[in-house]
Amino acid sequence: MQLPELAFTVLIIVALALTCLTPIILLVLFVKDYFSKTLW
Amino acid sequence: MTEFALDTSLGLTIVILFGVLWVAFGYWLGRKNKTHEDFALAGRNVGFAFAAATAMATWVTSNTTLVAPQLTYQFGLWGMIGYSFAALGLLLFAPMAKRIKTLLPNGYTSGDFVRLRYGQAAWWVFIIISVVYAFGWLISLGMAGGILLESLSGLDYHIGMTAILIICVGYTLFGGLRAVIATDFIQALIIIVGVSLIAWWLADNVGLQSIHSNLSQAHPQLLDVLFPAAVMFLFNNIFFGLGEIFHSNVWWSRALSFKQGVAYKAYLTGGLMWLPIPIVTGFIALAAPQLGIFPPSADMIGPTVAAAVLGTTGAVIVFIVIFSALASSLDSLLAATSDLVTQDLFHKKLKPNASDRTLMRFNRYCILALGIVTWLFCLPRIATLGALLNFAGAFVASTIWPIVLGLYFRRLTGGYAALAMALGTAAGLAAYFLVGFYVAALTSCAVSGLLCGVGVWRSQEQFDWQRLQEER
Repeated sequence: MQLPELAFTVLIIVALALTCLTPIILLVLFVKDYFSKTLW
Repeated sequence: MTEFALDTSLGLTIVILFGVLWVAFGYWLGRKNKTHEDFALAGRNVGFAFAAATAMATWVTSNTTLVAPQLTYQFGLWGMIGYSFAALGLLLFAPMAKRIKTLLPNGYTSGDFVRLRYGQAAWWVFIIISVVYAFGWLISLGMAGGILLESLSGLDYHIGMTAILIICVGYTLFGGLRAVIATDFIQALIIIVGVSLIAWWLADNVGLQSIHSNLSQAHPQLLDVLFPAAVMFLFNNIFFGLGEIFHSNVWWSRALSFKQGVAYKAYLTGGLMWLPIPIVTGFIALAAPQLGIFPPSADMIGPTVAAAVLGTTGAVIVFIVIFSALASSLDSLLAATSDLVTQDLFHKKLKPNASDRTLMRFNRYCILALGIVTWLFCLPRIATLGALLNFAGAFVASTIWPIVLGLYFRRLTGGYAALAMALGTAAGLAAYFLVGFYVAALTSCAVSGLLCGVGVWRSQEQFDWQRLQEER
């Protein structure tokens, strides 16, 4: 049984969107830790 | 235009630039290391941002950037989805990391736990498994460095492999875990941005519908949701991932280095951030048939596609992404394995009274020695990355149950834990050679689990958790 085109498209788009979100999350966490002096 | 996407001189320039940058950064960070605890565990004070990034970046290895596309190319859909299930390792390790930090507030390594919880016999089996796995991974990373440079820029495999090892050994040697974690943060950003750029370009220019339509006509098995070997691979990969993370000192030393209250949320966040990455890197490989790309070696499918569609820019992005992915894992493995040798073998077995200064010096010698041994093993280019990686699955999956039961249940004894790890590994290896790589971890975990179950059922002992609180 083949994966339908819609499911394939949704899978890839969701994975891409989540991946693009990651650097933003990391940078926000970094700034937060930096200003609260809890990086290390 | 040569047959390579990148000029040899450009490839070499990138390597040298990054090399100088990382080593200088490692040296700068290393100035803060005053004690062995600073060097090996970053002063046990790593905050949430660095903790989450290092958990994610370390798990993004050459295997995620090279092997995930390779498996997608071979197994289709289940190759990338199966690979992404390895995120379960990080997610399930989150509560364990919290427990580790509570049970072993002064602990250094995973070996410390096994020795104190199960005794000498289990410790020896565990150390053998850890060393085999660490070298399997180190060699696969070193080889990946050489293969990457050679396939993208034509630089000789031996020169590329030597360069990446020198760079990683260099900054780990100077900066210890602090340098490893700080570089992981930057490398995580580079990896994600680079991978996203390539995948967006493909989705935008080649088109998702077009890729799907081409695959369903020319390679329907790659879209088959019931591809038997691939479904088996999915489960095998889950247990492989669990085994890798649960036993390896790479993850234990991180858990012990994080600030109080950070370990659980850091591993959880790292796992969730990692989850979609193999799907994105795998997707890049799915575009290969439509683009008429059939690389000579399956593990170079991802870089070849990116270089082919984006030209020199794509090749440079891929080059930097994979270089960062390799470095973020190589440095972690060098640091964690040298901690294991320094703490478990040198300190506990040979020199119990060694001073802090001696331990720090020995730890540095270990990093150097590991780099040299890895380099020697990488010289003959012995196997494909996937084969080497899956061979280690037979070893690590046998540790899942002894580690989990050892952390949460009092009844499993050292004898059964040792037996479970030894026989689980033997069964996994038998399955690897008799059936295939995709059942090695599964078999190893099942046999080990069975023996642990018998052990818990038969045992009358109640382990005293206080015995884990060892004085240093």
